[in-house]
Amino acid sequence: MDGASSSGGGQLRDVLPNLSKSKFYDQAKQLPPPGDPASASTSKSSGPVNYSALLVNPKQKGNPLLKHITNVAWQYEEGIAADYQPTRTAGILFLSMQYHNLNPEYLHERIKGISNMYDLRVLLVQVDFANSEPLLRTLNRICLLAQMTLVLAWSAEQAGKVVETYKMYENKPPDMIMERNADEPYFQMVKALCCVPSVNRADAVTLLSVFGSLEKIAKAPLEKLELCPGFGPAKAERLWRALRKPFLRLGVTQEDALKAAEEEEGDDEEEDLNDYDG
Amino acid sequence: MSRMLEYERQLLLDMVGVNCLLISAAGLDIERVMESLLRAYLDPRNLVLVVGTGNEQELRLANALGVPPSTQKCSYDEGGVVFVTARVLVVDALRDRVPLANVTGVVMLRAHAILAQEAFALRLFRQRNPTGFICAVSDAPSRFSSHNVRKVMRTIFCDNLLLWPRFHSVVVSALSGVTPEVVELHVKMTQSMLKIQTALLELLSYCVRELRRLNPGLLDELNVEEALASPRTLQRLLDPVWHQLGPKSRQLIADAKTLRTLLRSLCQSDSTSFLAQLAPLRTAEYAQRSSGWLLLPAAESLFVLAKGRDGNDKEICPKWSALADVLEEEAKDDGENKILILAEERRTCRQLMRYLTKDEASSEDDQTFFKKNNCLVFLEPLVSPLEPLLAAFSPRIIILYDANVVAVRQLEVFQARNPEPRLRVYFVVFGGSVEEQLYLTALRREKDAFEALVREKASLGAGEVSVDVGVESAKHGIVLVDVREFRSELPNLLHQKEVRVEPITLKVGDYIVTRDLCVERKSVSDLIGSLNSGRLYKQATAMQRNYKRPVLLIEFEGKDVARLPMQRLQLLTLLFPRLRIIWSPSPHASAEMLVELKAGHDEPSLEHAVASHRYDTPLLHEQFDTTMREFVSCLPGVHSKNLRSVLSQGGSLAQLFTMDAAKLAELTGTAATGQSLHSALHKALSPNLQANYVKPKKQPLKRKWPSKKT
Repeated sequence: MDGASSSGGGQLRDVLPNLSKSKFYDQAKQLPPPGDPASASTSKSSGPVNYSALLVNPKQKGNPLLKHITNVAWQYEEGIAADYQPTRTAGILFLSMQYHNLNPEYLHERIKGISNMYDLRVLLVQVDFANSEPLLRTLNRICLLAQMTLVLAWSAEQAGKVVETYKMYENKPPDMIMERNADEPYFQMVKALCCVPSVNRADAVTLLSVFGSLEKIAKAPLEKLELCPGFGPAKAERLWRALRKPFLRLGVTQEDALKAAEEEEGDDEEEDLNDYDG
Repeated sequence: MSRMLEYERQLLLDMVGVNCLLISAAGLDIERVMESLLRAYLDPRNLVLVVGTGNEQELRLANALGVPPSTQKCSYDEGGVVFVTARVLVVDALRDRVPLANVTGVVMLRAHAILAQEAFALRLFRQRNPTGFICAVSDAPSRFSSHNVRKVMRTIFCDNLLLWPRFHSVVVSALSGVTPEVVELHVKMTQSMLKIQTALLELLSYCVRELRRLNPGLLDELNVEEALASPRTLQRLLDPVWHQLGPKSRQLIADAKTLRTLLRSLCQSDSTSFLAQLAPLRTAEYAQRSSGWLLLPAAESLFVLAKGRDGNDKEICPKWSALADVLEEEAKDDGENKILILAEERRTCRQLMRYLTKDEASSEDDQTFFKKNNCLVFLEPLVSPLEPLLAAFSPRIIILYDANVVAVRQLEVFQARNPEPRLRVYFVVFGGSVEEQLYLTALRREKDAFEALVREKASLGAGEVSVDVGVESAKHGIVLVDVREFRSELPNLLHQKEVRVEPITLKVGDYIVTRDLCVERKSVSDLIGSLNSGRLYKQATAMQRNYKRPVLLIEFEGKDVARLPMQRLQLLTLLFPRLRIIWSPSPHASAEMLVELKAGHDEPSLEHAVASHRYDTPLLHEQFDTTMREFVSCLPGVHSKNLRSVLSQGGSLAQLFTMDAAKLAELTGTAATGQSLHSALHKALSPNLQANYVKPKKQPLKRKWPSKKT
């Protein structure tokens, strides 16, 4: 660029000499740095809204939760309808239970105010009131009727983290809460062993450390199992029996099972059904 | 069958046909009384329901009466005595399949373990049948505090409390006629045993102190004595606070259990077995996991002493030599005496047999008797009830190798029933040992429990306990409830609020409240588990697909708050913006909410609830053993799509071991999964200690979620 300083660094205004002449320049200087609540004196921002930051309604100024938003950039933005707008399609209304107790109308007004603007409408309630149960009941009801998702926080810190997390998870894929398949074989085996009634994680770890492989565990004589720490004769026997049980239940033949396999087409909703010991 | 003793007769008279809660001392053979009681109702003109859990006691009773136990399908049409679990009874009652109004009475075994589903069953019974009797029985007095005995009595709607401790005058007189001749042998522990015992007690004490330090105010009732109590007692003490204990605390508890086992084993096994039990505790794996007791000097003493006992001059367990001496004396040539040695565990019996017959080689599990000087000597593990064993062997000499309160009582009862021949009982116990202490403690506990119950009974005013049974109605409409939910309190509470509760096997949701509203109920623990495993994601998907208003009901209590998996929950809400959340601080609040949600809306549609899922195709859990199904589903190489194939073609674990990777691939579908499965089955597995397993979070940022307890 012409006029660029030869030292290769310098201020933006040196590099772009016309910048200081722009009408936005002086206003931009006055804008508080993002994430700095202490200097949140001016709250106007003009120009295009920066959706990459968490947008905060200026009315939320002074809310203690703001101090606890430390992992994302945020800025005041007057144009938003909700109190916090972490993504284009999600809006968060903040409500202190104590405040709601004194001004029940406020919430209704705010809900009306956000009308249909968001896909995800969160009501973040800070539980700061001693006898919270009746209020909680009311709030549950309101959220159900008004299509809002109720999220509770028990401190300003928690509330801040809730807001922050919504921003951070903006584009997060669902992997974290979906079935995980690619664990290490060791831990999968531990989990498998825990399926045997009365075997807990520590027992499973013990078994693997003493015997090494599932085959050795399954083929170990009862006496050897009893000697493991945490294993008395009853538990050892239970494990010994469990590992020798046939897969098919009594009275079910392999043909029945294979037939059912054919009938089932891509049943992708196979959940872990608890046994109905009917 | 031998005649009934006076106290048994009296008990029967007190109980028959009336509402009562009977608490008797352990070992007085209440089972026989129950059998006699129930036998009277076998006539098909009666219908008596016995609510049980399918445990051994119930199985014996059912067998004796010649009726199927609750684990098998039952029929109410033929009358007589029917064993059924509470959950099945509730579901059948709600579906109008059992003629409760015609039922003669309900018998509840194990009154100390009455849970939500039993309470519901009893309430339904009382509502529909004001006159039938409810008889609840227990032989575990220490499970009743003064607080919960009243609760139990409210649950069974009666205030008739029958107490039968060992010191009840009728019991005393019945058992003081012919008593066995008791010879107490206080054997001395060797020096090293005493030192080992001291070391173990010190280590246990460390665990207890640490537990109390890490959880101030939470575990005040825990002391070394409690920690030494049976695993069940300890578990019950810890259950109410279990979810508040961090990983370190849980490890301490596991270690305490290990130490406890060692203490018992010290008195029961020989030096070699004891040393063998210590071996796994010296591995790097255990050291890494354990709570740190291995670092204490007492631990070092423990290992050194244990090794020392088992060196070249192997220490003989003093009880063994005492036992040998007794046998010398009693096993006379005339072959008259049959000797029965009772030990707590079968393993001990085998060891003793090897020692007493000087037969190192034999390890046949079946044979636990031998001949000495023409006398038959039997070695048997203690069982309860003891009578069948005694009747089968009819010994004259009994040696109680392990001190046990119930066994002693049962011997007294047996002698009273069978006055000839007079038994001689040897009571062998290590003086000054933990074993002796535990025996005395058990006696004391029972005595204290009964004293408290007697006081409670005295203070019960008339009519104090009768409770309004409530009215059964469908005033607030119908709610479809998944059958698996009947383990919890909520269905009962809904029913109390005059909602008709319709049990059905739901594949999606737990409660269908209106045509469009489907509720999935989760406790905080369930929430954590199902968000981690992916189950809740699947459930939310299914709910959203089938119902206009999917709802997640989170039941939490104040102390759970720190454990809430908030971030994962938030992700769920982002992915399912239509999913509503209800926060409920108690099952009562949940019930209220659900009733409220019904107002003004259509009743749920049974067809829709059933049609949205194919619940008529044979589900995996019906065809395959539950434990094996879950086990196999966790194995590497196995996923939801090939699970059925692996289970139906695999046959059993033993068979899987014989298959090579190629054969396994046929079951799993691909070579890769076949190989994974093959390696997992055969290869030695160990954790990759470098990888940070416990929370494989992909986020690079570290955040501090408000105070997690350690």
